[in-house]
Amino acid sequence: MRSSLGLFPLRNRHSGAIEDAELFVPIDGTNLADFEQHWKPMVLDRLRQLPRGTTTTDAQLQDWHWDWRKKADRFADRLDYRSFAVECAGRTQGLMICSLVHRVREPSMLNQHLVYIEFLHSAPWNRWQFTDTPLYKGVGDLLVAAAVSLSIEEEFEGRIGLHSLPQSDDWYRDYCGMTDLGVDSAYENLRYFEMTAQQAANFGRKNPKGVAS
Amino acid sequence: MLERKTMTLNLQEGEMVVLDRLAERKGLTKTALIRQALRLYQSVEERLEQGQKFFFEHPVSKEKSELLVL
Repeated sequence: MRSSLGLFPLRNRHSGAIEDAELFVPIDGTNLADFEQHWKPMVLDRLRQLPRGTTTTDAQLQDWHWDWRKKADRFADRLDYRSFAVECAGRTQGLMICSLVHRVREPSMLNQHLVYIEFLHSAPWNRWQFTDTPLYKGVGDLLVAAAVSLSIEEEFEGRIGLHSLPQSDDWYRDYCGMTDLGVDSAYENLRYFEMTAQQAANFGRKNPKGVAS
Repeated sequence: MLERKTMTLNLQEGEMVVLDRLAERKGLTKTALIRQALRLYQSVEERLEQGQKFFFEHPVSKEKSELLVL
């Protein structure tokens, strides 16, 4: 059964207003319906509009094939995974699945536990890759803050890790302040990032969302 | 916070020593460590039920040893 973790502010870039978003755990049928009825058609339209010869990597759409229903089914009832959904204005704005059984690679805390973000997705209408006028700002921040809070809740001191798609490398490194541990040849050559306990505290000061999972 | 339920756990002396030692090494309370162990157990169990095998690999020799889970 899904639970609300509370209301958190998102900025509507169109109106400039701050709106209340609600964070839920886990992802449920409402979110999957939103994905299939609203997200997926936008992604497929965008793919159809790509100029001939443009790859999904060129278009920063490496995640176009993510099927959230399959992911939600696969991880349902698993204690080692936790899923989150952000809803605002009656629609799903972001989705995330985290694993709780990964270990730290960063040398100072090697082999300690962390929360590993398996998948993090903001709705296409919030992303620059899909529109010149994205709607909500702060969905990614809120989901990363939720992962940090989950890590604190599980006594992992806020440590999180993830493999980043290339279009998000700068955001995780520069905005979130995570440590770039380089390209992981064992994981599709994606860059691997970790947030230490100190970096999580810094991120929390910048994003005081206070998400309790 | 998601709702939690309380239980009493009876352990032998040696099991308690290991629990204390692992909790200290991982910087976790005993409750957090047991919850983590349960997650791992479920994850391994599901994969074995699907017919997968669970290996440890030596970092240098790449020699693999299968972990037998009872």
